[in-house]
Amino acid sequence: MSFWPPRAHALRRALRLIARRPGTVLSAAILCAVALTLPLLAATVAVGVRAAAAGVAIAPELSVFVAPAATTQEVKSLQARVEAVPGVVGVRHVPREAALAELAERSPLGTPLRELKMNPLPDVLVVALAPGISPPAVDAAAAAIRKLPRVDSVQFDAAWYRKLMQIGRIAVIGGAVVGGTLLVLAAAVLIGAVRLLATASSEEVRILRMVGADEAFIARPYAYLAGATLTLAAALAVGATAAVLGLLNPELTELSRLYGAAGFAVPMLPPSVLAGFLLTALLIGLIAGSLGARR
Amino acid sequence: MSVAPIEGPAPLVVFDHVTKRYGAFRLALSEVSFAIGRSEFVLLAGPGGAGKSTVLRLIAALEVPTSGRVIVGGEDIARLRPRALPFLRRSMGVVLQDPMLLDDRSVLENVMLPALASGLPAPQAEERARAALARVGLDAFTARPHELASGEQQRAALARAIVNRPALVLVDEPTAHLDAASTASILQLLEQFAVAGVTVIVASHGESIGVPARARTIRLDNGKLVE
Repeated sequence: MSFWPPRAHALRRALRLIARRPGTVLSAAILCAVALTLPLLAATVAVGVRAAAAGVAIAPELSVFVAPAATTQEVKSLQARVEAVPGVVGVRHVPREAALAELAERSPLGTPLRELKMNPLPDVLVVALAPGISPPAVDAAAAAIRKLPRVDSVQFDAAWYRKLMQIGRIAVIGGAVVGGTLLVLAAAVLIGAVRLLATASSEEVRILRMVGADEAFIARPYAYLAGATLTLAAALAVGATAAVLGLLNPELTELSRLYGAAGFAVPMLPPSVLAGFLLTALLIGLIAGSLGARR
Repeated sequence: MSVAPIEGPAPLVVFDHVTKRYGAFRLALSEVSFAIGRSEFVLLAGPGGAGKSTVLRLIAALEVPTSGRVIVGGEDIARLRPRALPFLRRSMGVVLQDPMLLDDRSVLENVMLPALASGLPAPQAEERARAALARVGLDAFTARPHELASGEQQRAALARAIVNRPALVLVDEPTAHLDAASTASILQLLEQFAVAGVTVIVASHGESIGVPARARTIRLDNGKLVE
């Protein structure tokens, strides 16, 4: 069998099916568009916020308190060894004198602190870890530093970091589950609509089988119809997302200005991503339509 | 296997002790055996309910036998893979009692269907469909089936049956909706196909429908072959 003639025929049939039942096709497209708009909007906001937050990297820090008896040479040597620990991207030395001066500056007990004969504060190494480092890797870095000579203690408020990472993970998993569910829902709506159309055309299907049409020839117009419907739904979802952003962005910009930040707005996803979204919708539609029309 | 004698080499259609039941109680065919050779003209005769339409539906692989074997073109239809069925059906033309034409498209488009299903490009399928319609004497290309008289619908169905130039044509009750003149012209046309090498099997409740003299008659009654 030649490749193009059956496909050209299927395309003509699909257009006729749409012309015959425009209401059914449009209502299925709108239903699917509603299901697709939510994950698309969520993804658009997530990508926009991530891009905005890229400049404000969330990186955890460790505070390494050096033993009071350590000499300046030993502190320098320790700093070099800490810098070599995996996950460490930078080490800042806060000398004990600078720490006392800062404390005296900030504390209401400034004058009595300056009059102390002996500085009770230790040297501190402020260790910057790689942005996005996993909590177990932070623990491993802290444990490795603790074992180094002249380290008195290592402090790390891991709880906030763990919570933040966990929230991030839950958001990603939740988003994927909700997005996937809604996509399956859209495909199910489409399979139902196609099955309805195919059932209404059962006489045609019987005749086609009698004259020697194979299952692909019978199902192809419905697959094209479903592909077109889901692509239309995806286009509607893109339009709805753009409309929502149009309403949301002025408010977000105003809100960010109230917090003293430069005007923040969520941009639309890049055209290449949107094209991929439409193509994915077309493919899922073709598969759903083919499944719906099979006996 | 006891089959009726036929002329020529391998038969095109063989029924080997075929029984067909619908549900638990309705016996449509019982232990029917016969063979039909290539380019034969066969009249399947018998009263209503004799099992003639069931025989045609079994040959067209629209049904499978409950027991026994139906062999068409050397293939046991019950053992054919579903993917192979369309190829078998493309080698035959079927005209059932109900012409089964689609009302949402023109007569020409209805006749084009088997050619399109075989993978022919639309222009070639249209060319063949026009030739087939001309062969059955129908020129209402753009009319919708419901706009045609019963006899014309039967002709359109026959044109659809021959558009793929089949080796086997099955016609169920061609006289049901036709006057005497139309019946004669249809049978004459079917005889021309048989002369050209096509096997023609016509099912009819009446034996005096004017089949060609060379036609072989297979009689059925109450689902059984009548000797």
